[in-house]
Amino acid sequence: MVELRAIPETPELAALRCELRDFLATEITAGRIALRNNSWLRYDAAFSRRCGQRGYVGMRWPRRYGGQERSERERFVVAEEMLAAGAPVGAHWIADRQSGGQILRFGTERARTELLPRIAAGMCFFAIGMSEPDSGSDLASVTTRARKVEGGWRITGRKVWTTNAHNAHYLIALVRTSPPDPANRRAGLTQMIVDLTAPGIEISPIYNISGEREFNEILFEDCPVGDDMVLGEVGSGWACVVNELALERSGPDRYMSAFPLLAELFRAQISDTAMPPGTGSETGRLLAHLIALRSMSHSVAAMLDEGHAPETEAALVKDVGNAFEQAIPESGRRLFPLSPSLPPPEPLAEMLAQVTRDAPSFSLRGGTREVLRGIIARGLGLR
Amino acid sequence: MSDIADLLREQAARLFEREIGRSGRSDVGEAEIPTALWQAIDAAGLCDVMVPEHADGAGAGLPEALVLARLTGAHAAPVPLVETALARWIAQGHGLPIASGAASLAIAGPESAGGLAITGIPWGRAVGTVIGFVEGPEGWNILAVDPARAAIERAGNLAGEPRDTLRLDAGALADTVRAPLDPALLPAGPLALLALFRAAQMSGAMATALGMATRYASDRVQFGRPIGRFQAIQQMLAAMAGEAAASACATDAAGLAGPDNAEIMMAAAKARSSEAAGHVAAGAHQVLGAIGYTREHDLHRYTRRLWAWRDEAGNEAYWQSRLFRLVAQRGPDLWTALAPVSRDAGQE
Repeated sequence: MVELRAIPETPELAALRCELRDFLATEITAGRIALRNNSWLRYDAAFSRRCGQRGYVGMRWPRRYGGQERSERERFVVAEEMLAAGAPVGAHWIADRQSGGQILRFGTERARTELLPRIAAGMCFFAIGMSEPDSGSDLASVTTRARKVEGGWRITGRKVWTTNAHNAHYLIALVRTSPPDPANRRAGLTQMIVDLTAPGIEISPIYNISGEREFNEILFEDCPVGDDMVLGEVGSGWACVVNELALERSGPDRYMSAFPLLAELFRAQISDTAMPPGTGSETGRLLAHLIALRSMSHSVAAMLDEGHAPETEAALVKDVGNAFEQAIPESGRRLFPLSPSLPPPEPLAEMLAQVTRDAPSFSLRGGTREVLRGIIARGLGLR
Repeated sequence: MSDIADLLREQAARLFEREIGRSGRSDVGEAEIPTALWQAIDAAGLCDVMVPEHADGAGAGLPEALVLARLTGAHAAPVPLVETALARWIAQGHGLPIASGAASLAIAGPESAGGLAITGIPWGRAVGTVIGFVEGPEGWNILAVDPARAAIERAGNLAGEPRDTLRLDAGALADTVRAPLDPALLPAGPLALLALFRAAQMSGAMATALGMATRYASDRVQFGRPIGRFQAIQQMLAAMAGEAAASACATDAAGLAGPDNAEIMMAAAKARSSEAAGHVAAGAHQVLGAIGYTREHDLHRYTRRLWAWRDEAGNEAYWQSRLFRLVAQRGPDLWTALAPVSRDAGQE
């Protein structure tokens, strides 16, 4: 396992932070965005378009595909600043974080030229098509299948827990393109870009425990996909999807989901003169964790810039990061015992209630804690 | 990481592997510095790593010195290398005299008319100079204490490493050379610096304990297969890897911090590492089972040090509180307090 090494933040990155803070301050002052926790799930198409106009989407991609040819470390800074403010980046988040990178790496030239510039402009949004009702952590067991037809494929099956599918334009689906091979469960899978306006698609809401329409179930019935919307070689879907998962695990969204709550706790604590002495250690512990995680995630961003594929390290960041995110509301309720009245009487109580309800998802989405630890164990040489 | 750090890492690692294997393995609970090991370290110039080049040192900075500290932890080196390197650097930087050979440093109690006591001095019995930090009304003073002028009481931490007390009477104290602490050299003050070096040592000891546990899990067969095949063991080792990585990254990052951010980052490094140390030590013992609980097995060299070091120079509760206060001093906006940027940073 490669050792994570902290690296200094360059003046260029600091300048980018300033730029982001100015942009977000303007957005907030103008009342254009609503800030909240877990903001990378919050859909706001107009905000995403403004991010695209400023070059904050698809930053790493080549200019000919609408990108900025900037580094992963610059993307890291943009992501941290957005999430620290609680900005609603959910519309473009998945396309920017993983779908675009998949298309750039595995897509046909037509897919790249048609889709990447629109994603980078903050106008084209993606969803993830991995999980199914009977395939969660065991992703290789997917049964949604694609049947070859003249010029393309027809997809039939079901995907589930699809965040923002009702707002997205496309989805990258992992489907079975040949029958299961008991000798190699990972063979016969393919990733395809599905146009969510195509015929044969039915999207229905699934409400989360807060009653929000966070995700969906998608039913495919003979849904058409062109040959030029296939990612990589037919049958190489497992290698593609593993790459996609590595892209989604090491970023600041894996430890900043509850940052606005932490900031509010901090603010409340330093303005509360009745706070008993010594209570600083509860929040101080969280600050120490956050400082360590920022360094870890920054370090993985630098590894990506150097061309490494830090699968184990990404899993490590997500595992440690999710535990930290989940600890924030627990510390919060020890510091400020709030009565669970709904609707809440004050912003802190509202945030605490909200993050307490969101928290279970942190160590489920993007790979459960147990799956991640399995990956780390493999990195340690145990599997 | 710099080339100097890589060179240093290689050189020191080779030296520790060779010399500790040969002479250093009877260390625990013993009071003496292993002579051969110490001579090899001093001859290699490792004790002068931070001393400027114009004073015949290596002129390395904090990141490189932390690499060395991590290695002393990773090898459970039974020598005051970190202490001597810091003491020589601080003495040189403050124009204070320092005896040749091993040296140490510690925070001293308040001065009184009767003299001064310095407790918890690493290897106090075996060094020629102790750099003592005394906080006075005008700020910190640094004293170059001659242990020969003091009464020594021997004690040890729970790893058996010497942690002695020196008592200076009024006369000896009056004769002791002192200088005011130079904030340009120690912007975060002495305790945070000592804390950071313990954190670096802990990150090294955690890496070794994790490696031992991982190897044991791969080798030890029960129920017909290596115990590392069981998910319960894998999950435990993976969680330990996360703790060790957090400690290593927090420590590295503190070594890179500028003067304005130094104490915050050092506080975070010690708080995070002290918390991680307990998890990693407990996990390693759980994986290694009864054999890891014996004096014969090497694991205790690392876990006992982790338990000792996590409390030295401030435990996690101390540094968590301190970190909270330091960040709170920057104002109510947490993000700008944690990720400060100077507005003209891009124009340098």
